[in-house]
Amino acid sequence: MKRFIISSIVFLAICFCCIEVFLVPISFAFEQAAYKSKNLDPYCRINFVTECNDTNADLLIIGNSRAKDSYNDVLLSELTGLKCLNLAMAGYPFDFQYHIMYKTYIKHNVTPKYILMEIGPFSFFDYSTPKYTIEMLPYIDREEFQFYYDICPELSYKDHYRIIRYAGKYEEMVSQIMKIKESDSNYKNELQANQVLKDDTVANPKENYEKNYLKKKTFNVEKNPDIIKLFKSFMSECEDQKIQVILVCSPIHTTDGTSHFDMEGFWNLITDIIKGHEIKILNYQNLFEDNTTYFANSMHLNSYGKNCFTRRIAHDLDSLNILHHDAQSK
Amino acid sequence: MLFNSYEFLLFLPITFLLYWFAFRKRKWQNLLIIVASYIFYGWWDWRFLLLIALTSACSYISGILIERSNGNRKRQRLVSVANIVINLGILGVFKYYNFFVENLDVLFGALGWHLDWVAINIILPVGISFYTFQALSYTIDVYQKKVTATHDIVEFFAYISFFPQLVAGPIERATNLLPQFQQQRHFDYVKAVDGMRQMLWGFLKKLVIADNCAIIVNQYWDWYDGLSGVSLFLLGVLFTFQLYCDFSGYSDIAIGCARLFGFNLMQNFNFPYFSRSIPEFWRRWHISLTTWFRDYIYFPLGGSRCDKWKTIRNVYIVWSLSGLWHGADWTFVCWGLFHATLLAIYNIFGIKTKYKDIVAKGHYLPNIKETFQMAVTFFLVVIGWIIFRSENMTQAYNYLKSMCTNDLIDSSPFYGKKLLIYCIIFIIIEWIQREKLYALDISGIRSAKLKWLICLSVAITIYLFMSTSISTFIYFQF
Repeated sequence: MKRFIISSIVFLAICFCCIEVFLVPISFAFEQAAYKSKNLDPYCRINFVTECNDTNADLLIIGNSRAKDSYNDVLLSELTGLKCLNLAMAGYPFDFQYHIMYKTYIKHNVTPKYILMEIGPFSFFDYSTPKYTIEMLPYIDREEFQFYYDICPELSYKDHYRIIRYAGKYEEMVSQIMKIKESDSNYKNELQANQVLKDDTVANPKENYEKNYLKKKTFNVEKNPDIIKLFKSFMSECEDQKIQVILVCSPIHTTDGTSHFDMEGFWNLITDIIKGHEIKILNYQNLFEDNTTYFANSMHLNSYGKNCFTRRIAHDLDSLNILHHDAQSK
Repeated sequence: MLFNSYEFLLFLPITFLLYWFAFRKRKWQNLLIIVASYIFYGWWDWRFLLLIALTSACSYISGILIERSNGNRKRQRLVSVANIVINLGILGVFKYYNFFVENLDVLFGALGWHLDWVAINIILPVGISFYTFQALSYTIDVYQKKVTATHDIVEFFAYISFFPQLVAGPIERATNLLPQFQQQRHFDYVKAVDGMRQMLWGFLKKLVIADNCAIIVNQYWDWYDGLSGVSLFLLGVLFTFQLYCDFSGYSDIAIGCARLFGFNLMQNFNFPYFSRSIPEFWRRWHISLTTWFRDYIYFPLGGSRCDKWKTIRNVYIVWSLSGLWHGADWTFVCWGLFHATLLAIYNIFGIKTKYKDIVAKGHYLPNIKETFQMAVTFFLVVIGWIIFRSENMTQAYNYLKSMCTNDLIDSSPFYGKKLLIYCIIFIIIEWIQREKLYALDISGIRSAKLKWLICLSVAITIYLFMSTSISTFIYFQF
């Protein structure tokens, strides 16, 4: 009996040592690789925001992958004379962007003067992240840890987060991330919407559009009421803090000005949300239409499109006198 | 309480230490098992305890009554039938009531009568089918004089509620497990270490293979329109591995855990995906349930010792019930009928199915014939699991149809490819170890260092590749 108990303890101790001695450095190396890799976007972005201490941007860009691919913050800073920072995060819904990206940023920085929010068909979509779970194995654990760490810095011992997570102290956070992960029915919708053009728009846009979209009905992206509610409260929060919010819909690949998303429903909802608020809206939905020179896929600009669009937005912000700040005189 | 939860991580060592150090006498150990098992089961919902206590009490009393009516066969039969009716009644209400109401509603709906108001909101108690069948087998065995009725209520309640196998089997027979509660247990180092290894392997199956496969399967299953035929088949294969690793993983943990307490549970899986025919598959998959149906339904109906058509009828009856046992849904019934049909075909054409040994025993690789047989069996099993996994028959039909009619290969992203590599590595290990009781049975290796190294590698693999979300076992719902 004693032998069994001692063996079990020794076995656990060796496991622990192996993990500590060999695997933590390996994980760290993976982490660094992940940090530098463009493919591991959510992971990098969460790390990025935790490192944005005292950046104190004047203009903060918030949104999903469309925001990430539409605004070059360095270029925008040059053009507007403002300190701009793109906090966009691909593949996560607004509640995640708000609670994780924005709130973490705000903890260590002064309140921005302007918030440029990307809006589009997926703004109120509660899409989950299983795709990233797969892509990011084995980094997903780290990412989840970071998720908790951002909110509870006392969780400094990284490798014990699983036990800590299950101790019940962070139930709310767990349920939040589980909610994001488990809404896989929504995720399927997102896949369905993005699937075709992601692969071949650029190669053969017209043919693929006809083949894949014309036979389909208008795609109505599900809007999550909780996210809409949070979005509304965020608008009020910005107003209270005297932050000028600019809602921008960056270009979507369209044919004859028609997108396969239900944009009318979307704009009705936006109109309803901003009612009573002093919010500027800029709609570039049809700016590039089906000119594939600018697009990476149906919903995202390529790097050339990103820079072109950044120039355009900088110009419009200036000409429409939206940015009435000191830097404009520079 | 889930095996793969942190509560269990505390629960197990505490129970183990109390069992061997504080409660050394058999009666006290049995009592501790009841308390621990009720805590384990009540962790889901304390109200479930009333049901399991009721089932146990009914079977316990009926066992004694049957024994007391010795010589009065009619009365024994009456008691036995009454117990079966009560137990199946509980199972029927909690598991099948709404299913039957829904179907009657559809039936009467055509006449303009609606019965939807009769439907009630009932929670399905975890593992109810498992312990109900275990309790039933006891009464039938007492009636058939295979086992003598126990008068010790503690050992009987411990037998029904024994926590390692309570919620997902193996469905133990009184002839095997009950005598073990009646004997003094002694700690056996070799047995305990072996149990730990089996648990470790069970955790690897569940946490690394099953849970990771579940992410992909759940994500893509409904999306059969957008995937190619090959991707859909591969998704079916992933589910095939998910189900196997989930369920046999549970059984491994259960058997290993029982061994820590000095008990031997029956083998529930014996490398089923290396079967050369469907009948062989069913002799290797969920053995405790298959043998239960064989002994208590198939044999009493006449089994195969009657003419060919009656045998086929018996097969259909058994497999419809087996399907229904898995869940109150037509998909399960159809899955059962699908297997019944396959078994009937084997029967009609007299295809050899009674293989004594595991495939390619004593060889590294199977021969061409065996490979072909295994491939065909595996393919048929995958088709069966697709029906099993679908939410309704329309989905099952559409899935299978899309598998045949969609483009064979497409460029859409299917993220399960990486997991297929995990599955291939896993199946290679299982193949190498197929002559053992379970794949991590390394008791034959002499070098202690090598044994430690293998176990450490498995533990670290679990740590590295386990899915981060804690998920329940599929078979709990049955």
